[in-house]
Amino acid sequence: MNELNNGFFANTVKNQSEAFDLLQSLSQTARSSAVYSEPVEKGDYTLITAAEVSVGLGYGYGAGGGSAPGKSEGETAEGGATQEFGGGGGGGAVLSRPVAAIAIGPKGIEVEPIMDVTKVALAFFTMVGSFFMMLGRMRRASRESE
Amino acid sequence: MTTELGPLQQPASPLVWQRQINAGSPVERQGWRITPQSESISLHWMGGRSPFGSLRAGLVYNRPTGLLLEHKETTEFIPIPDVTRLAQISLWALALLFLLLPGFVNRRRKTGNG
Repeated sequence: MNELNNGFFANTVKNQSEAFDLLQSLSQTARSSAVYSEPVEKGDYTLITAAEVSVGLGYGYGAGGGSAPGKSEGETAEGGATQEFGGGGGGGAVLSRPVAAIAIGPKGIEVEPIMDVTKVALAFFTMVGSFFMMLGRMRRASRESE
Repeated sequence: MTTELGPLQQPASPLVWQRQINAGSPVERQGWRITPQSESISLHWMGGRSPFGSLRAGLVYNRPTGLLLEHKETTEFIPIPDVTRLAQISLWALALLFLLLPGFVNRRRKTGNG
């Protein structure tokens, strides 16, 4: 399996090129190796797991500069030199969900789908909720028409 | 066999999206050559750039599509079904239907009465 885990992450970026490298690392996720695990041998069987992976990240970087006022009028800090300041930050999230397990054995190649019961249950409750909303609206409409 | 993705170029448009079919490392077992395949959708937003700073974001969605089996001269493709996504979409479609149905029925009733 890939090294990605579900969760959020935050990173400090020192400069724009470092931030650009961070965005470049997204291309690693687009590879096939991020989805399929390395084959695992167990007896006569070879197992490979397949997962759905999604990664999102964003960052911002800003810089500014200017001369700070000195002790007396017309004098700037540090001998009149202008100072530049900058900073940035980024964050993102990684989501991964197992989709199937592939077994290669004496019987051939078998693809066993993996169901995420929690996600399906949440969708089911949404459907049940909308069903009761429909019943309520239809009952109200029939009462109004009488 | 993995498709190498090139470095990000400075695009003309701030929003760039890319869809790719990638092939993983092939596995050879019992005379079969098995190549896992995946589909990835990448979205990069390179907007808000100025001499004083920049704002960038990216999103990558990668899912397994199937296995390409090669044996001597025969080639077969076994799709990998995403049962969770299928069930979710079906249930959400049903929920949407339940939400839209009363409005549709009421409109027909009013048209029939008028």
